[in-house]
Amino acid sequence: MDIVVCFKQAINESEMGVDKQSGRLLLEGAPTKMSEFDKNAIEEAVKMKELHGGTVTAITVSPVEAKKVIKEALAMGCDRAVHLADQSFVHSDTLVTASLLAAAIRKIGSVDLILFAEGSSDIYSCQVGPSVAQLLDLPQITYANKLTFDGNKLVAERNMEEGLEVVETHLPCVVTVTNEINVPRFPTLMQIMATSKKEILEWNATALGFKPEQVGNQGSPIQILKIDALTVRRKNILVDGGNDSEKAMNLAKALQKEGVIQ
Amino acid sequence: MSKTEREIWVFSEDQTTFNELLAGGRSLGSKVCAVQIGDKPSEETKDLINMGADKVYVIEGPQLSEFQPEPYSEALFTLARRKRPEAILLGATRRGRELAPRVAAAMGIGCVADCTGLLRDTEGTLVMERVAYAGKGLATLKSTSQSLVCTVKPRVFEPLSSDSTRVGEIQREVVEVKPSRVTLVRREQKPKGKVNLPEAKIVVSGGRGFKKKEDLILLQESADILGGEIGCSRPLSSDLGWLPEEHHIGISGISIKPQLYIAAGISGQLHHLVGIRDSRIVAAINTDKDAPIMAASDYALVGDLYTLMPELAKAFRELLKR
Ligand SMILES: Cc1cc2nc3c(=O)[nH]c(=O)nc-3n(C[C@H](O)[C@H](O)[C@H](O)COP(=O)(O)OP(=O)(O)OC[C@H]3O[C@@H](n4cnc5c(N)ncnc54)[C@H](O)[C@@H]3O)c2cc1C
Ligand SMILES: Nc1ncnc2c1ncn2[C@@H]1O[C@H](COP(=O)(O)O)[C@@H](O)[C@H]1O
Repeated sequence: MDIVVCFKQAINESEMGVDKQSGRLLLEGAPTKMSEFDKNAIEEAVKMKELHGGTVTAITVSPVEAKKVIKEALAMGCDRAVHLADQSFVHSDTLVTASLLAAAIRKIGSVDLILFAEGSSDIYSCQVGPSVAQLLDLPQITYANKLTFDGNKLVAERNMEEGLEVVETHLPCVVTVTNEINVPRFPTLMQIMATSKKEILEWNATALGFKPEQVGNQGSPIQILKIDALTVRRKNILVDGGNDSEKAMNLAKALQKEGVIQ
Repeated sequence: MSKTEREIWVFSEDQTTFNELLAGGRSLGSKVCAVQIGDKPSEETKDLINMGADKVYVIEGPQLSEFQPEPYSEALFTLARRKRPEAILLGATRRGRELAPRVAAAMGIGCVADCTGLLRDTEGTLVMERVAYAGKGLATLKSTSQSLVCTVKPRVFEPLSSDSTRVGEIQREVVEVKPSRVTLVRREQKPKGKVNLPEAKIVVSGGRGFKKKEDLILLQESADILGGEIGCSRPLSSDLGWLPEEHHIGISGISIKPQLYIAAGISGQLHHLVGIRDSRIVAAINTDKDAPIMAASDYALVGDLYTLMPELAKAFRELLKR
């Protein structure tokens, strides 16, 4: 089974700064990390390969340096990585990101299974996977909690608001996985060292058949007007007391005084 | 054609959300068209008009008997290619989120997920708001494409009250769609509980600080005394399955706006906090005084929930004479 897994170098939102003057979030130079649930997508890809043979290619779209997350994906067991890298990719919206991924998958050629996470940790739009499915005219299964392949059919359990749903389809197919589908492995030192022998391809806009004006901010239908920092002011009162019973009573009294319990 | 003369389309597989979106479309001053998709559209057509639709496009077909993203998106984008609506509004439910990007990608148009605000600027252009970076930011966006797809968070718009004197046009459309390549094997519908967390005045919520399902009685006890509901962090519902998904609070669950939110054994990661930001008062109970929830709360109680929760229930009873 030849598998592609798409992963994102996301902004580490908990470490983002705010521009004091404008009240806007500072995007430039914000620290990054691998989008959390993408580790589940990678784990699932590698598990599938271990069970059914084949290869795993990890792809990421990132206009900036992404060596660390690419190595992470390779150390987890992907066979090779493709970095879609071009300065012109800055501020690509989900449609453009999906178009770049779809073009890369077409360039790779025959692929049986394309894995994504349900949503990225920084944006959580849950859009890129289904967009790629549409662009490649493939069926999709989103929010998969469990995935099995019997050599013919792919069966998935989906975690929906109203309960569990079991669906099936034939390959090729796009699947987005939840955080609950598996426990991502921690690569061993050996596996980390072995990444230096693995192939990392780098494809730019031209290699994927795009002109600069078709990607990035220029090519994206969705334009960001601004991103204001959202702050919530809380009182931050530490409730004291000699013992648990007193502490609890002090909290209950404070809440009564606030008028929120009656 | 002025911007407001173009149609705004609305569709959701969930009737409450559908009604909210109809009201949302109207608030934008546009001609609002409901899209009704199914194998045998029914009396509901008139209901959609009563709830605010100026027009209902009815798309019928044997492939559309149940919601599947492929045929449903094909029905929507095939018709949208013909009619070119200004925007298509879908619910930000899990099904809405898997439908919207397919429609947008097929048409090569912009798509904004999980909108928390939708309005027009002075020029009449649609402007969308959504949270970004797990609630650290509020992004304001617009689209440059001819049409646009948005998924809108529940309760952003208040549904109109049903008015049976409203008139609207009903237009049947013939749309050929291919069958879904994904097929349903079975669905284990959980009985829909009586909980209404989004509207609850008090929510008592638990996280991984709880060691087993039975211990959630500690939440229920206080919730019962206070007349509140119980909520939870994602791991308790999605991973451990101790509570149904409708209790899951946060970016991938629901957002709430209670007078009081009590978080016991929840660390308070951004993905959770974004769901409780509209709470008036937040109280947290945690053994770790440095847990992020502590800095994100009005009242922080450091200690073991297993001893504090029973004491708290006792204090509530005493104080409120229950
Ligand atoms: C894309 C994405 C989406 C997500 N969406 C959501 C979402 O919608 N909702 C959500 O909740 N999470 C979401 N998460 C997960 C989130 O990041 C956290 O992992 C999760 O909220 C942690 O749950 P928790 O606080 O219950 O568990 P933990 O982080 O493990 O915290 C448990 C807490 O309990 C405390 N504790 C332990 N024992 C006791 C005791 N005896 N008494 C008192 N306190 C105790 C600990 O000190 C700790 O602070 C999402 C993550 C991602 C990446
Ligand atoms: N820049 C990217 N490069 C590769 N994959 C991505 C990228 N952005 C999003 N994805 C994939 O799409 C999923 C959903 O992302 P999102 O639509 O942003 O919520 C992520 O979890 C990744 O699997």
